[in-house]
Amino acid sequence: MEVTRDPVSASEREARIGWSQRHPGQARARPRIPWLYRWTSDADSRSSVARNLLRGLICAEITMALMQTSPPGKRDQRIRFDSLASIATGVLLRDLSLHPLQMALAFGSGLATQAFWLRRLGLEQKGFLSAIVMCCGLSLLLRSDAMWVHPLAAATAISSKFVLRVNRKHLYNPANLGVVLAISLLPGTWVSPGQWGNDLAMAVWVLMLGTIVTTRARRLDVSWVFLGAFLGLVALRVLLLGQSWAIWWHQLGNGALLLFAFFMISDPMTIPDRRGARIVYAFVVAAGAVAWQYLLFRPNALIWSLFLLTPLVPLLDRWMPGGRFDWKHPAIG
Amino acid sequence: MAYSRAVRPAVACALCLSLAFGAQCACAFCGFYVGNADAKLFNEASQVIIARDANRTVISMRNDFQGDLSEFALVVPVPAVLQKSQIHVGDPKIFERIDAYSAPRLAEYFDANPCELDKASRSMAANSPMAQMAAKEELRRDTALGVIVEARYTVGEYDIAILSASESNGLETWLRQSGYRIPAGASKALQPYIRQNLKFFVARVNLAAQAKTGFSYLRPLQFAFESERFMLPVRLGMINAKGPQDLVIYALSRNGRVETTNYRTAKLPANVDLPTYTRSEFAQVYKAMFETQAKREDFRVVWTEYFWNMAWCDPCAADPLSPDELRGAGVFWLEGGEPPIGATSGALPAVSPLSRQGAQPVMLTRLHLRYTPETLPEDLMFQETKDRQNFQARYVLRHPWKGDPDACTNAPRYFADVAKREEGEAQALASLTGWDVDQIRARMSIPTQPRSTWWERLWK
Repeated sequence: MEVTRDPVSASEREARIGWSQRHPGQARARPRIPWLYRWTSDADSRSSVARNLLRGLICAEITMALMQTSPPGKRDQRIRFDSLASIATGVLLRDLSLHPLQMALAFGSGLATQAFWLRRLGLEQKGFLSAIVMCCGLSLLLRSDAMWVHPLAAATAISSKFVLRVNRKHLYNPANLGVVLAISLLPGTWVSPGQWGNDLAMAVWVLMLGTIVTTRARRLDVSWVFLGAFLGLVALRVLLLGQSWAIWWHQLGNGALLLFAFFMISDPMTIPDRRGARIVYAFVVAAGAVAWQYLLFRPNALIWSLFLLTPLVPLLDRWMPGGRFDWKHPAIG
Repeated sequence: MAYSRAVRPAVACALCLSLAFGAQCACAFCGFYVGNADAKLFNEASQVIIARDANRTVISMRNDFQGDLSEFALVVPVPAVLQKSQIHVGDPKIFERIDAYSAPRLAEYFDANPCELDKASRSMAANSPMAQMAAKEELRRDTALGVIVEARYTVGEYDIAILSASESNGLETWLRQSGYRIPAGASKALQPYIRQNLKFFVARVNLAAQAKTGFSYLRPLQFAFESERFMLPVRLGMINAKGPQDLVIYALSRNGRVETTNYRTAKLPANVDLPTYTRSEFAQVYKAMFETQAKREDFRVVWTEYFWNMAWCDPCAADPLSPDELRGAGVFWLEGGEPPIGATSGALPAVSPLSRQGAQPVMLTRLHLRYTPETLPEDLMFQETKDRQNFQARYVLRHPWKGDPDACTNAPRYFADVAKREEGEAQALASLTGWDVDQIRARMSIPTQPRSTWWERLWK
């Protein structure tokens, strides 16, 4: 291995490094956001600590959630919020490409937008919980090298709840819509589907958390049917191709799949009201995701499948009407 | 790409630690570029270059084969029957160039005389981390085995056959009868590719043609194709792999960083200050560090070692690749070449052939993974993100000012800061490499810290 001296001429070198000389002490390599750089640079010990801390946090959250003595309705809301909050903390520690300020800005903007619409439409009693959950979901999924992307996506997503309405229900899952719009329209914005890794232990934790959340909200069916259908189709592919079952386990241990199943598709306001319709819907979304991933070979299958198939919800509601979900009485529906 | 390891490691690479380190300046201002830790450091590291834009892909595979050339063989699943014009023999230098350009690097700085600094600019913070194939065979035998030889070409020193197969045992038998040494269990690994209707690119060395080339080595094989799949079939290379293997992927894209979608991609800890004695042993430091980090994540993480716009670098481990070299590496979208696929006008920054330092629409992502068959059950799938934030595995040496501690009022404070900084460097190196911190301190000639009490360790 040789160490080579830069063969360019002095004037070329001057031109190349001109920026550094005009800004002594600052390398141009520094990202546009200085503190983002600082946050991402001292990754060493934190990434190894992060996993254990994440497990600890989630464990504590489950215990706390189970010990809550508040009325069942409020408890559901709290659990949903707590679990997402703890996952978000873990992501901040583990995935160094998400900056805490990006998350804070997403929350600030999302909640302000919620407040604006509630006031304007005179719906103050509706509260902020769903907005908080949405901001959490959005922050967990979206990655950007700019600071304005998260708040813009959050504001757009929340607004969609009040603007894009069909049959007195908002059409799109706000976090899903926000993410899809951001990655297709905004520069420097992406989703890292592999960021969760395949840590089976973490998957199990998320699975357990998700069960608690969705059981209380009586919309467990859609999550389980979706997971079953998706993993069933992956198993079918493994059998047909004669692949190793390790691939199936690899998919089962995918944190992104479990998070999607329990925290995105399970949003009670954007899925069909009737149980039969929800099951049909979950099957269709799972089939769509498998087709996207294994026939079209495109990334982010879950998010795109949900986005493209959401227009089915009002149709299913029309063909198979059912009781509307109410966050205050989650047991009904 | 599937380096059929038992066929013979097409990519065996001798461990080369003869890294020459010299105090040579590559980039005048941004610290002195001292040395790098390139891919040769990692024994048997396979190296692949993937240039991709939309569904067009050019894959280059380095054949660093050391044994008897008659034993060399390469079996790669490809999405379609490749025409002769889609296969090319490249220049091995391109791998050396791209490796040198993107290798983890060491930069060094020399502290200024503290006495010459005024109080306001005394903060050393200004120097803080900156940025980073067969032989001729009977047709009837082939048909009986369910193997169809779709095409045969001789390209450069290689005899290439494109096969399609309907049955994996047939393919395995065909390969064996054709003189390829296929390990037991190969048919099981080949089956999923056959069922996905993939073709097999099979290459071996045409000894007569090879002798004519006058080269003592094999040149890289390159092939261009169109496919929606942005993936690398690595599983075939693991049939009888023993122990962890290394793979270095250089992904050349138009817009942004490339990452894996079915495995976690993470950046290596970088921009860390290291003890100055590591200057002559950076290669060992980097190797130990990569091993420690990979093991810490159970070999389940794909590490990003470098991501930068091909137009420039800071500090430069080697000169950026020229447009000709980039074309040699498979970049097909450079100026005067292809229009952007599916893009409307005006999306591309104009690049004049002369503006070598101009904004070339080429981004290089260097991915390094160490894996075992257990930790990599599925072939690698990639995506091009819109992330454009540069990253480099860069490590920093900061040489203290060597002067009299009593030279001026600033001097004692400066030396106290240096002592603190050196302790930090020792701890950083220990944490990154898993080496014993006291041995590091001894090498640095700094005092060993008294062992902390258990409660101090508890609440530190």
